[in-house]
Amino acid sequence: MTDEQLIALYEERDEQAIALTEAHYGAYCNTIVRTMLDTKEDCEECLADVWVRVWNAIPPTHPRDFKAYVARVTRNTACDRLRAAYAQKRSRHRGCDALEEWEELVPSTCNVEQEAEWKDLFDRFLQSLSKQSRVIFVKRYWFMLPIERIASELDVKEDRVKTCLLRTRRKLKQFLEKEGVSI
Amino acid sequence: MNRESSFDRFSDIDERFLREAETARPSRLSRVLTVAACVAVMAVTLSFATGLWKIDVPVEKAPHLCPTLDGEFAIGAPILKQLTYRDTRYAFLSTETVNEKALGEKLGAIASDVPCEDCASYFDTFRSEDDNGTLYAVKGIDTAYMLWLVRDDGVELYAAKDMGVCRVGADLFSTRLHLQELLQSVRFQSAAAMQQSSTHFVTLPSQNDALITFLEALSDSRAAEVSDTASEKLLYQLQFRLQNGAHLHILLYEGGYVRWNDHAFVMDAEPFDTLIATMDLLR
Repeated sequence: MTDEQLIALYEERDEQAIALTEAHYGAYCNTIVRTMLDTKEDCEECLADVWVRVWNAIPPTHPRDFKAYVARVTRNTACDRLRAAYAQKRSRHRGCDALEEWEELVPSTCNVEQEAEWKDLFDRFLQSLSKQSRVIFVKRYWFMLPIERIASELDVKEDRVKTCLLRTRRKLKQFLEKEGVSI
Repeated sequence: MNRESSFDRFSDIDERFLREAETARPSRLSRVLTVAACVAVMAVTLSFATGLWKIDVPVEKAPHLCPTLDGEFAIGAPILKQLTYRDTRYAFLSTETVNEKALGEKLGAIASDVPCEDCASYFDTFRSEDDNGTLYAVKGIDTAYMLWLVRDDGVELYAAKDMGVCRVGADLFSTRLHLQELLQSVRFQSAAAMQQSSTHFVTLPSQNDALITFLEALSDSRAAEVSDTASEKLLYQLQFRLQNGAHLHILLYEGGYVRWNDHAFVMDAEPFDTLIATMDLLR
């Protein structure tokens, strides 16, 4: 079944769409969730939320790239759980380190309100990076992969990954400030 | 705006970046280098074992790299440890303006007029399609004779074949006279005069701690792809004048990249950033 056919099922409100999505992308989404959350229960609950969110969002949303869309919903759902756990300090999930690193990029004030503007900002920033820096940054802050795994996947030293992330965060901070986002 | 918002918005990045990150694998270059290193180690070991390579051959002499400099310095980070330098100089900016197109045409004409084998390829660098921006100045430095071109997008050493210039310094002395005659706005100075005349040209004592630490760390730096430096901002250029009178240029890019002719390295953050901070203070 193609992604377009899956989306069509959602639009027809056919509940089979959820099971088929899980069959197609369950393992992929589980991979994303497992890099962020620790326990199996958390991961399962998170994925259940993902299928509900996708069901609720389509329609009216009609994703251009269904796989990327489901991945994005998965990341956001996992982020919500991660953030809740982080705020309550009740557990320290895998993704907390990345979240902490991101804190230095938290804007105090900014004139960017629309989601599209943020997307444009991040896209332009990522485009300006070298390929390796971009891959490392996305692996860390989108897929929330641990540093040691990134180093292993790219066959580079962990120090190199840390240095690259530090520099890229600095660059992003400068970039955001230049675009009117005060850090 | 809070952490959640900016972190959540990062979810929306373009799908192509996700696919790129998912499919990224170790660069072929690093694998090739690893294999090459293994092969090299085996070959060297074998050479020693069979007596083909005597140990008194100076390692720093790399005949395929700048041969006329007698191996005083060769491309390759470990060799940097053997550098002996009198002093160091840093990037400078100039205020003179030169029309790039006119300059290119004139340089091309000169290249064809001057009987010098290396001149043509040297001048070609000025007309490369990769060269964008307006040239602000062309300056020559005495002794080794190098052309320095500074553009409006920052400090830039245009003369990529500066080592080639070193090789043909005597011939280019006459070329320089032609240039000066034809290009009204081109000015040539001695290194000392240029240093005095430029506000963005600073000298750091050779015993500076930041510099020494930097050079030591550079010796341990990792090879990178030259293309990696293309998107990075050029921060500074280091010019080393060696005891034999030759010059060596090292370009420092944002992100810890160090470029040396067609070779690039990536350094640890601390020594690199410390040197940059030191140079910032001196400006």
